Amino acid sequence: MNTMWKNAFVLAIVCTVAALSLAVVNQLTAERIEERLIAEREEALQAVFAEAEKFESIDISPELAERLEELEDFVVIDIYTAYLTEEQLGFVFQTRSAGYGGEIILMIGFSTERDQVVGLRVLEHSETPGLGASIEEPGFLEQFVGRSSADPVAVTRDIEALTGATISSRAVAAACRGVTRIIEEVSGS
Amino acid sequence: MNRFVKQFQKGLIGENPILRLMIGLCPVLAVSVRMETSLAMGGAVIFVMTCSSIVVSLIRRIVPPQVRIPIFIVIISTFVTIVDLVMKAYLPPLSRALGIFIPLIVVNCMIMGRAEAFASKQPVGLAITDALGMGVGFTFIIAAIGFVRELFGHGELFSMQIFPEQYQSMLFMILPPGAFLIIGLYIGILSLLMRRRRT
Repeated sequence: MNTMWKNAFVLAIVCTVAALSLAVVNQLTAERIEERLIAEREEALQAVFAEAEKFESIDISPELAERLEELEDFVVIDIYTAYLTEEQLGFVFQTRSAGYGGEIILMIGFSTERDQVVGLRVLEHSETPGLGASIEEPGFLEQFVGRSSADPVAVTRDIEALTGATISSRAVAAACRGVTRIIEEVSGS
Repeated sequence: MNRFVKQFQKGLIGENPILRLMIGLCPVLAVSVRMETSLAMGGAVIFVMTCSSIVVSLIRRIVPPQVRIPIFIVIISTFVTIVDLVMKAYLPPLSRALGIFIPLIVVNCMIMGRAEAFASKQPVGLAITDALGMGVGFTFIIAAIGFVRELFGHGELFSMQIFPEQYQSMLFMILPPGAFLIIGLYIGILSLLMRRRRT
């Protein structure tokens, strides 16, 4: 009985000290981590929509949310409006689609003014290094720039797949095609 | 003093965690794709192992044997979380490159093994020496693997182009089998050298 209490007591002390020290470290780093994340997002937004100066996360209306849920090949995580001072230029979509090694998170800029995709960026992926991981390369992503809802935006039709990485290429194409298909509803709402 | 030097050397060669004990291989396979990530992983391991060895050694007399494992795990995971948070705040690119493999240091059997087999039974001075020796031995080998993999897999070192542009990179080196192959070669070389020295 006595040893049981002693065990519990020592374990509790160790855990308390550990929790306290982690609380301190968290306090010291939390603000900075938050700042970094915001800065990174800001940078990614700017990269896919160079003309815009200001981005605002939009509230997704219930009707739009319902429509977004029906999408099959990809998921829209976030939508931002892109502004140049007061003028609205278009939208930036953060999407998720299934690649070969896991999920691919993309940032896609679409200019409603010019009715075309203006930029793409891969935020996260776990594709095979050397094959699918090349979806990050500008040479591949450039193919999507300038596409509109009138284009098929499909691998082997107007998009050239990466050698040995058809699934990864298709995942990017699916998200990009999806964005061009829902843009009207998004800008209408 | 001699005792400390000997203990340090053990981790470097005689009981090198990767080549002799063959523990803690998971991050070695996953992270040794580039020199930069290899060294960062090595640094994180050295920090976690040294700090946890110090604490484990300091409290070795008051830790009841029945609950020592959970206590070691709490200590190790505390230091790993500290590394993770600090890297996220101050070295975001490295933190992204290492990803899940930083939190996974918690379950690295090399650190647990040193806490259990060494630090929990030895005075602080020796425990630190042992942790440093093992950590440096680990870092040295993971960097040596990273060197070959980055050089032949990407044609680069520290992300700087070494081989001419036309170099067709060896995909095999970037994938896990490349790491296995190189670890195997290194184990063979070290065993050969040690046998030569003995005879």
